[in-house]
Amino acid sequence: MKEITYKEAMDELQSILSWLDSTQPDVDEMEKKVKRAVELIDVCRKKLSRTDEAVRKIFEEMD
Amino acid sequence: MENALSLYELNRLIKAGLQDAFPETCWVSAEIAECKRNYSGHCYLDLIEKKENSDQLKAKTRAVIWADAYFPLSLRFEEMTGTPLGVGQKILAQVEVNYHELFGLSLNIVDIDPSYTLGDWMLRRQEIVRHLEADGVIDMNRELEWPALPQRIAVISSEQAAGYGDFMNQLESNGFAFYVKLFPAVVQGNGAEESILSALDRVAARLDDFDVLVLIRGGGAATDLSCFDSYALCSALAQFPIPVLTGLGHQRDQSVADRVACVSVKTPTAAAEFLSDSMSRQSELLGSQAVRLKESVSRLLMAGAANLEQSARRLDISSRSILQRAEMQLESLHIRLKSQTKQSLAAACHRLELTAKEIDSYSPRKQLERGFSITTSAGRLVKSVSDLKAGDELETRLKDGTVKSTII
Repeated sequence: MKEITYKEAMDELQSILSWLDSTQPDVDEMEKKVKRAVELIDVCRKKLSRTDEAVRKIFEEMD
Repeated sequence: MENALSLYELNRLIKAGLQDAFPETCWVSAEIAECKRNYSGHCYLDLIEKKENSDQLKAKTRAVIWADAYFPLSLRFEEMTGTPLGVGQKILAQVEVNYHELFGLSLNIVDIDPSYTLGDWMLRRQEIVRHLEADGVIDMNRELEWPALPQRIAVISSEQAAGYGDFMNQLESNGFAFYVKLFPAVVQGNGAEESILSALDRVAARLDDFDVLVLIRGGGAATDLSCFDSYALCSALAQFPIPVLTGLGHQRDQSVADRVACVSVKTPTAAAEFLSDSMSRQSELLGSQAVRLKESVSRLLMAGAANLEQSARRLDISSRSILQRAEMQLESLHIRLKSQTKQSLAAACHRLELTAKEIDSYSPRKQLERGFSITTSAGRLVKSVSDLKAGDELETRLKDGTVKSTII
């Protein structure tokens, strides 16, 4: 599976937040969505501050 | 010939003639073609004037700024224009026309009006801006969306430049992940334009690897920045397919490169700060969304709990009312039972009475009252004459007494 991009992760996070704001709580569904949202926040945070080895390698190998 | 002049005499005459013609200083506009300072601090220049729209020279004269005049004059020039005096600049200079018998004609510059140079630049810039506008490219880079995470950075700068070091230090100080690739170029003075254009080509060849292009310049003393006002370079920057960030380190007004870049800041350090700030904003956004998530969840859970409690209360209330109804039903059944029992008893009593009466009507006493009598003989009921013979004693019971008789 292709790694999720920052923008995709942010978009998905947004849509979960709007779902939470707009819907009557379905607790089972909520649990799933919140779990996913926490994952997405974690992915995004890592992208901000942790070096992606694959990208670093591309930059090092450049001419 | 007797009246022939010696060269010295001729030159003295020229000198005297010139002094008569230019008794005072005058202002002259010209372009600097050469500009060199020697060890003693004097500045020697070649001033030129070109034919209109051409590089062909129309006039050329040597000039000098003596060391004692150079210091205040160049300081003021640099303060106002942001660059030192240099080749290619158009200046308006106050000059003494000097002629020396040995060294010939030279203009002694006593003052320079920097606003003329500024005006000339502004005109040139405006012209290039107009040109880029007419091409329809001037806002192309500015209209690109600045990426949320400007992490993969192509830098065009000079490797040795202090500005590049400042940029890298600042970038590494914030703890965000950045990937920087330097595309070295000469970024000031001669050859800068071609050098930067070729670096742009090298970045353009691998656009997919980069989020943004950063163009930064040395820093330190102000130098000739005219390349950042060049049409070819600014046109290429304006049309560059990824957002360009400039930090050219000049104090005064914007160059055309700054005008066309997606984002323009003053220094390389500020450029690095801008990149870090972009990341900080995302970091804050993430933080606030984590808070929002928590709030939403606890709000929904609370709403759920309240819902549950309400349901429990409703359940309690409805079960109580069901019990009450059942009790009432039971009560009314009880009452009905009691009254119906009473009624049934009364009816039974009544029927009993009637039966008693009926039974009573068959009793011997009743028959006697009606006028019938009962006859017995020797204790037996006499029902037929055949039961009797003469001499038998009869006992006859009537309503009000008994008669004894004998059959004869």
